[in-house]
Amino acid sequence: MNKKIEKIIDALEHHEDTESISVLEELGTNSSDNEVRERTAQALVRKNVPEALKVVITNQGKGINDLNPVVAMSTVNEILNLEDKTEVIKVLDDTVDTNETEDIRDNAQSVKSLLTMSE
Amino acid sequence: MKINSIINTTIKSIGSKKTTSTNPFEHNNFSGNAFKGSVLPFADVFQAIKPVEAPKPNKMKMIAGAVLSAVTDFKVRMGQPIALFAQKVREGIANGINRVRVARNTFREMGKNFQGRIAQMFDHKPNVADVNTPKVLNMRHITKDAPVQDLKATWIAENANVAKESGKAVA
Repeated sequence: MNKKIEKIIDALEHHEDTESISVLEELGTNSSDNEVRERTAQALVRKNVPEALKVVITNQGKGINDLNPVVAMSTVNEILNLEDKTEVIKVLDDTVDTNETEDIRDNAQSVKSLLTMSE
Repeated sequence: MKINSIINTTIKSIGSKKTTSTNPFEHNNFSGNAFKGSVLPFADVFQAIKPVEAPKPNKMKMIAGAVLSAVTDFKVRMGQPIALFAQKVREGIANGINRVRVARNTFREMGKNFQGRIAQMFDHKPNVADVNTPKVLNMRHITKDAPVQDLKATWIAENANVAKESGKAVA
């Protein structure tokens, strides 16, 4: 991956401005580069805030719903590695209960099961 | 015989005549009157009239005229430089006033610029235009403290560079 883009994603991951989430979603999760999408999903999960977690859990083709299995499994692995899972569990429950797309609900349910099993 | 006798008589008659004068017209006959006067040798017979002498100039009048012309010329010569000098002084004063005005404005602008430069040196406050326009950052300035818009602009610019290098668009 381009070193400059990797550094930008890293800076946005640690940025306090909530606008950084929008930039990661707009430029990172929509990138044609698998590595960029993978690294962006990791950055959004590590932010561990509802707005960032919703991007990788409730959107078609992004994060755990990415068509590339490497990107999807990398995002799931990053969620499992979170120390504080309170926020991600809330988002997963809300997605399973309210999301209109079946695939998204199924993926969210699978990740929730993995979290339960890993604890 | 006759011829010899004639020649001899002619030569005798010529040799017997004595010239008593240098007058070339002595033996000439002017309408029956022979010129008997004496003429000085090499005398200029046409320089009989005495040359007319030019009237002697009056020295006092010449001196007075010279003095008068000198004084008049002096006035003319002195008058022009004085007028020119006065005109130059007047123009110089006018130019000086204009230069002072221009210099005053220049110093005022210099003061403003200098004040602004010093303020920028100590405050490091970016201009309003710089704040509003996202900048493309270099590697050193890509940090979590950089403005999000600048990071976004840098990311977009880098995508364009990657697309240009690879020959395809990067979303």
